[in-house]
Amino acid sequence: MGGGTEVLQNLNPRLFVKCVDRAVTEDDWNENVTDEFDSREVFDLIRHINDPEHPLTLEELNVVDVNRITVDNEKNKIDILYTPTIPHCSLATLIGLTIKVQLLRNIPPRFKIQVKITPGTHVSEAAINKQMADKERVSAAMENIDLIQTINKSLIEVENHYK
Amino acid sequence: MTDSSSFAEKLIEGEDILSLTNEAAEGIIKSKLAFPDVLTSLEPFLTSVDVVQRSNGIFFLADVLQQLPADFLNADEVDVVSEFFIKKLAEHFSITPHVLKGLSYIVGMENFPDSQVLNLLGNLQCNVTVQTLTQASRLHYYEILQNLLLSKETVLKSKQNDFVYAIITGMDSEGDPRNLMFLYQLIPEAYSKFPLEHLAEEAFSVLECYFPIDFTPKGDGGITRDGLARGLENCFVSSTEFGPFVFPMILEKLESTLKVAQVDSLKLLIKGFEIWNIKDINPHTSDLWKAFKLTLLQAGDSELVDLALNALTSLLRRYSSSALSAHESATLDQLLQYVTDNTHRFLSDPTLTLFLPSIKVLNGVARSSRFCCEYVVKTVVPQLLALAENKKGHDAVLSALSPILSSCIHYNLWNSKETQQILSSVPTSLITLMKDSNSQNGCFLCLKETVSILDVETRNNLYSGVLSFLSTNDPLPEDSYSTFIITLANTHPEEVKQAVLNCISISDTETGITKKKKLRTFCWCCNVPSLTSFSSDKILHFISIPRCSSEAVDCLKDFVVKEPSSDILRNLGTQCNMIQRLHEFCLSSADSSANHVLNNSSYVSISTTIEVLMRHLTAEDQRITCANCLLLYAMGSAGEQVPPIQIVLLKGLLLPLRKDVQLNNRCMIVRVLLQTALNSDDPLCQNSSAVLLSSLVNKCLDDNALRDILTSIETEIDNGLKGENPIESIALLSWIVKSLILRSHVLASVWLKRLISLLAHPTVSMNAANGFKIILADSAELSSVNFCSERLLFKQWVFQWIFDDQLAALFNSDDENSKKAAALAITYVVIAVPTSLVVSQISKLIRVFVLCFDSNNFEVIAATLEVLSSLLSTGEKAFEEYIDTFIPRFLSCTSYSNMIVRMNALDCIYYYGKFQETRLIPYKNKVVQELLKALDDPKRLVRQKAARARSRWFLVGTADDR
Repeated sequence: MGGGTEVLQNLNPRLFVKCVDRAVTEDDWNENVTDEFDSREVFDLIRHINDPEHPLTLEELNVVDVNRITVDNEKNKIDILYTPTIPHCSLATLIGLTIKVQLLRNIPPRFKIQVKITPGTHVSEAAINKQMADKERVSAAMENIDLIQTINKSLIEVENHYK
Repeated sequence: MTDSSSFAEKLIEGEDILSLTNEAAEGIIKSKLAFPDVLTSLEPFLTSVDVVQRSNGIFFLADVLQQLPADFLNADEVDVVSEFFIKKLAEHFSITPHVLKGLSYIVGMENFPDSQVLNLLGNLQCNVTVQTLTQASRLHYYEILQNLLLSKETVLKSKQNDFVYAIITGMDSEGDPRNLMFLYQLIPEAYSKFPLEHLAEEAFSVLECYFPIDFTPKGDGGITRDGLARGLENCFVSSTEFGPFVFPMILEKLESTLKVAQVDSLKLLIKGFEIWNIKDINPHTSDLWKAFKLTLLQAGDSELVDLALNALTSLLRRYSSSALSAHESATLDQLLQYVTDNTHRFLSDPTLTLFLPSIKVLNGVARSSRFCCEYVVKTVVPQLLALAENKKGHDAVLSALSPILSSCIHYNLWNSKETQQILSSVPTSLITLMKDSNSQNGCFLCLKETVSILDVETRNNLYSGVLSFLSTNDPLPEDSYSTFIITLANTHPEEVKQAVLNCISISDTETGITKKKKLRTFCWCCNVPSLTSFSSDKILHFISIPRCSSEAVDCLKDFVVKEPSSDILRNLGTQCNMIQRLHEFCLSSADSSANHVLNNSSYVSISTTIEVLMRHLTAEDQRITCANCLLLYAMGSAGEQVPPIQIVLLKGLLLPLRKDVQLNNRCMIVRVLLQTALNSDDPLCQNSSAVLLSSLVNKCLDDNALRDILTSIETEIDNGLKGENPIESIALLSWIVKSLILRSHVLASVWLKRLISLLAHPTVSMNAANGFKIILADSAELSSVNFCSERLLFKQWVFQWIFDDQLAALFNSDDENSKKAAALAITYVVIAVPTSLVVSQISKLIRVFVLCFDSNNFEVIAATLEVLSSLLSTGEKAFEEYIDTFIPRFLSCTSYSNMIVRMNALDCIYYYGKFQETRLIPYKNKVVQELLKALDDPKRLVRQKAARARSRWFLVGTADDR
């Protein structure tokens, strides 16, 4: 378990249906059409991240949802809201950080990425949002070997879901 | 006897007696030596005061006994020898191993006297400490016990405790796997024949210390951990007297975090529940359920979950099939209560993680016995039905109910007073729920189980329900509906025919979905023997109606390709005459005067259907069908182009012909095919002709006829290359080469050289290179399914032939284009063969790959990258050396103008990221940095590959165990 907890905080979480893989259209193979970034593309990058507590993905637990991602190609901005499975989940920061790391690695640097907790879904929402928005703290976290290894463990499965 | 005396002399002369054992044994068997005389000759050794001499004497005797047949010595001789050996047990410790060896053979002899059995047993216990012996001697000790058990069971019964005790003391602290394997066969046999009584606990403790077995096999000794574990398991279940001791041990091991401990414990329980007494099991049921519950309901390892469920089922089955006291009966009730109490709370909502695991447990319980099934029906079925009705769309609920209903049918609960009331409402509820599109899959699963118990009224409602389902635009749950309709039609064929199939019609306004549902229903009903003819007639009828013909053709094709048994297909081909009727329909509808003309893809589907049906006919049926159908074709007049449809159909008809089916008009067919393969404007027609020609070449049994065919093909190809059809000629040539290689024909290499020479052709060199793709690709058309000869490892043959003989020839041209064509050809060969073969030629290949990267043709680069990515995906270590060569080239390809090249290059970079980290670390920063550009690629598909590659390279150098 990522958080190092011995007892599961949420033994029987609710499961959600996974969305089908994005269909490849003719335009996708057309070199002359430029594909803009959209919320589905960002969602595909983070949906298969493993929950640190369960052998389930963030999508299956509805922690992330395509409708809670907004992408603005003009202003180079990506906003993501994620929902912890329970309001007092101590792993919420870790999950947020994992999402952020995955996006920092795989989204072009021209985008400003904001990862926040869905309003009203966590008791320490404000504190966590502040942590996630603090560049210095995120960078420091990414240099912490133990933490980055925990994050890498959650991310390692993601590559198996690429087509 | 001269021989006896000369043998005695040899012994006395002081020759090395151990070298004489074979001579002595052979002499005794051939009656040249008398056994008593040999004994007499040995006397100086056996009675010597020198321990070594005595030891040699006994060793000699034991070795001789080993070589004598079991029935050779008479009763007196065996008696004397056994008496002697038993006395020698009290001898010097260095002699004991030889004595045990001798005894193990004597006890196995037919004439071993009963009178010596107890004497031997007593002496073994008094004089032998097994733990001080070597492995071989311990094995002899166990062999003595086994031989006694096999032949002297009655005598042993008089002192049964002594025998059991001999086993217990003998095996205590045995550690050699070979001896343990022997013991694990001896013990179950011994303990099942001899009561353990007061020795039970001791017998158990010497076994307990091995559980669970921990063993890593060395070499090829044939002993595995699993073999030892199953052996030990058999020991524990060999006696009911182990019951009181075994449960504390198992419960302790079930708590272990070691998977092997849990697996072995559960497997032991599954076997043991059938053996151990209920009175011993009874005090532990509550603890056992607690242990099972942890495994079953905490989404763990699927192997453990299955074993725990099996163990629970086995426990319930034992209780249900045994006569129980009031107390034990209450325990069973209590156990079932535990199960329902612990699963009940997870059944309230099918979206909860533990809903399915809970249902799995309840299914297991229902399966275990009639009593348990009744219990589950009473406590769970009403809840599930209510859940399905209230939360419509929760297909999981109905899918969960289906196996429980299956158990109800199995235990005939529909007629049981206890459950009848609950179950009687189920079919009606299911028929009502069928209207809800999100519940249909589950409904069909459940209805399939209940088909056999439905009364007439319910069946009529069901038929109406099915008809209205077929008329709605709800999606078709293929798997569940097909098994349901096939089961229903098998159970009530006449009713289904009258009430469902006869009532189906397709109107002009129907949507694609309803058409498909209706047509598929007919197709699936073809599986029911009594409905095959009726249903196939209906399908052909719908094919002939313009508004649904293409859907009907597709449904029929899908059905014959993946569904039925060969009997059904044969029936469709012969009795239903489907092949000829499809031909008649197509060849008449293709005529401009007919009502409607199908599109090309429908003709291809019909051709595929014909192909599958033909494949399942016998040679004689194929010959008759073929002769009848060929009459319908208009291929007579020379010079005239044959319509493409006819070629497509002809492919379906002739491709699956068996080798021994002779074609009367083969020459004419070859001429027509050759004509269309080279001159037709229709690519489908061209390809079909080329494939069919290559199939005829592959299957032609008469070599002279084959050479005639090849000569005419060669002439036409040469003309085509010089004339207007060089590309078509190369495609045909490639197919013929493939066909010849597959049948291992002597001309294969000659024709392949012809194709290789075209790699230097000024205009079509790249097409010639593409020909290699055709040759090396797996082709269903030229496979054994269609009765073609298929040379084993033909790809490896091509690879080896090219690399051994042709590589220099390929690159001797100065022309850059031909070099690149050759490189592309090799790339296609490489992609098709196993990595191990490629690695053997890796140094030669690197040159080819580098040459390909220098090409300005995107096709060449894309193909090279594809080959490399497939080779790199295997993680073959040989590529580690070439990381310097490849990584910079891959990185530069990530900004190539063609997106396929970019994607393939990113795949290669990703696979390299899985190689040994020490090799990768110097490149990590460069790769991660360069891939930033690819993350912002204009194409999303490329960005996805870039993200995968970059994520992988970020993990380089961060592994825990680096």
